Amino acid sequence: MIRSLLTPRTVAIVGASPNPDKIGHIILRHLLKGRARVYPVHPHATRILDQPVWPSLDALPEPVDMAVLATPAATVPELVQACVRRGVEVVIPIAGGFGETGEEGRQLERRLRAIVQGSRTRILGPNTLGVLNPIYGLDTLFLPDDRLPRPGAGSVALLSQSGAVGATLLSTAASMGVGVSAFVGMGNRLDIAEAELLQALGRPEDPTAVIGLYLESFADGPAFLEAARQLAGRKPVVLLKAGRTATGARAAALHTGSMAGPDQVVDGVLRQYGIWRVFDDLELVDTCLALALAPAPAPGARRVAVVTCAGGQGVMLSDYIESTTRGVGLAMASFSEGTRARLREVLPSFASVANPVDLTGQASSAMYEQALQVVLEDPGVDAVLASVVLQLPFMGPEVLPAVARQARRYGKPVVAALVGVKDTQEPFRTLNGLGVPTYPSLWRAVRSLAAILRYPAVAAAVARPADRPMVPR
Amino acid sequence: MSTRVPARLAAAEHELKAILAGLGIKVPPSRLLLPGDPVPGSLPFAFPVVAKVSSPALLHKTEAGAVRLGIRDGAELERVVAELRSRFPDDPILVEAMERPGVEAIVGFFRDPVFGPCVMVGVGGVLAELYQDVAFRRLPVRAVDVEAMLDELRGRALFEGFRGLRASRQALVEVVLAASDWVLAHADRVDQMDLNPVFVREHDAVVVDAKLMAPSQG
Repeated sequence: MIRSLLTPRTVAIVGASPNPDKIGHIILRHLLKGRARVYPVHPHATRILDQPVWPSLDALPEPVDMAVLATPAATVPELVQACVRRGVEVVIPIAGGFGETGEEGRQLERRLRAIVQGSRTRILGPNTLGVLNPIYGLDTLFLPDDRLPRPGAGSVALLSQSGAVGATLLSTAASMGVGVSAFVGMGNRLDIAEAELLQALGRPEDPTAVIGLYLESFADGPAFLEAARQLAGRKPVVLLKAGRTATGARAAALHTGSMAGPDQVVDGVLRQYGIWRVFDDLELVDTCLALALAPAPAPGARRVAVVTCAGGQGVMLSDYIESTTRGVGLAMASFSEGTRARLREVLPSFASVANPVDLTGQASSAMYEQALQVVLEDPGVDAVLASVVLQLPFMGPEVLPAVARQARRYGKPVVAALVGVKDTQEPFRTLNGLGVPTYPSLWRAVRSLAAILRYPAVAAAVARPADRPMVPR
Repeated sequence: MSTRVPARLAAAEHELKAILAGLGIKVPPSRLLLPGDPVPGSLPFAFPVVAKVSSPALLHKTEAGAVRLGIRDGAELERVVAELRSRFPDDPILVEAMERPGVEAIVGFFRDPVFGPCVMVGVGGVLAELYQDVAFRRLPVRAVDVEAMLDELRGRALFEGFRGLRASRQALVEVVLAASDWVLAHADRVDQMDLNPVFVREHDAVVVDAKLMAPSQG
């Protein structure tokens, strides 16, 4: 299934349209930019976008791995039947009008389930944004790529139950230069759901390093937890679970029943299985980026050094790092005497050589690199928050590769913040491309660094199947 | 906030406590008086004692006036039992030692519709619902999971020795583990279970009150 879902050799697009405004046209256009052989299907048209068109799935000259259905819900059962007949492995009905609309739609879904039962045909969706694989070259998304920018290839996999939220995640990732290994819009999850995708993306040979999910419900809670448990510590799972305030139907006869709100239970259980929970879409992308790029910290790492060029940033960053109420509750590192002495040689005479290091407005790219190197060498520093003020007169774009160079050299987690810069994309893409997670906000940078430093403990506390002696007696 | 639904317990308190004792969980020493049993002249534990009507039909004993605390001697016990029997003639009466108080914990079990059998641990006693200071995990749990739950509590210091209070965190963890294993093994017969309060003391933890609800169907 997963090969045909993410790397199909052949794709049929049913409902391909000559009209550039129709989603059947948009999807065809995106598919043609990719690597799969594409078969447009339309009852009458003969050529669309300069491609030969086939009148039906049955008329295709070869079996296809994937069929995208850009036709209304009512037509879907018959088309899925044809997919089963032709041995299509993955069929993606894009249309809404299924279980999300009510009983009639649910009935339609039951019919689809019955049609594929026992066959090799699997369904993604219905009511889904589709699949994107920038590494292989596959784009079935119906949102035009001139309106929804696609992220480049990378190691973050994104799975979303909602199409709109999925689109938000993709455009955020694209604008920050976060590379994606796969995006799957799961839609109504009639068949393919998060647990199976987690397993597939978790295989060692898959290029995915981190999996970020947006869910409003669990298709199968225990299966999802089990899949996540297998990945803990190897490929982090980051979850944005919405629907937190939905009222539970638990009978409240005892104290326990009245206190066990559904979201509180979710919170404890996610922690138990090593799943990193986040609370908004930016945090989801930010955390995936951080965990995908940063090297593993030393055990117990929590002492952070800040290198900045502005006093105000140093004050705010220190608050965010140390505060337990409006911050992440990590520690500001104290530098050794040797580190201070070396900083004094590097920095202007009026700059601060304590943590946070403030290079002042006199900061140059060379000075920044030297200061960063000095603090990274201090054994009392576990990680560095590097805030680079690109607007300063002596600071040039060469500082970006310099930061990445020093980060790589010491293997300690380094997260960069670039705030208020004129070019809101290129510097981020550059640094992220060089392996340093980089954010346009001080707070988001600190929050992401905290995830890097804390994730290993979360993963380590997860029970491996082997160390669970307790079985039902 | 919570709706109290009419419900029936799956076991009387003395039956549930016998199960807990069989799991190695400490419960107060007790003597059960069946309807018609005379009040014994002496008890194998010291006064003061507690007398409670022990019936699966009584979900909220205190509210129903079915609990008497601090009974000081045999004569008072005689009077209390007579009074309880006048209102609950068909139910057994559980006479228990008054336990020395400790830090109060709540240990609860329930079936989550998504995750299945789950456990809750937190700050217990009559104010448990007010503080809502509880943590959750799915069953099964290991000792490290229970430790992590206690670490999540705002009131975690209560179980680590706070201002002269001495509480055995280890004893509480053992109660949770033993009860969890039993719940998991009987998951089809347990809808909710409350151990509340559990008195967590310097060297042990004792379950002072316990309630078990069976699933409403079947």
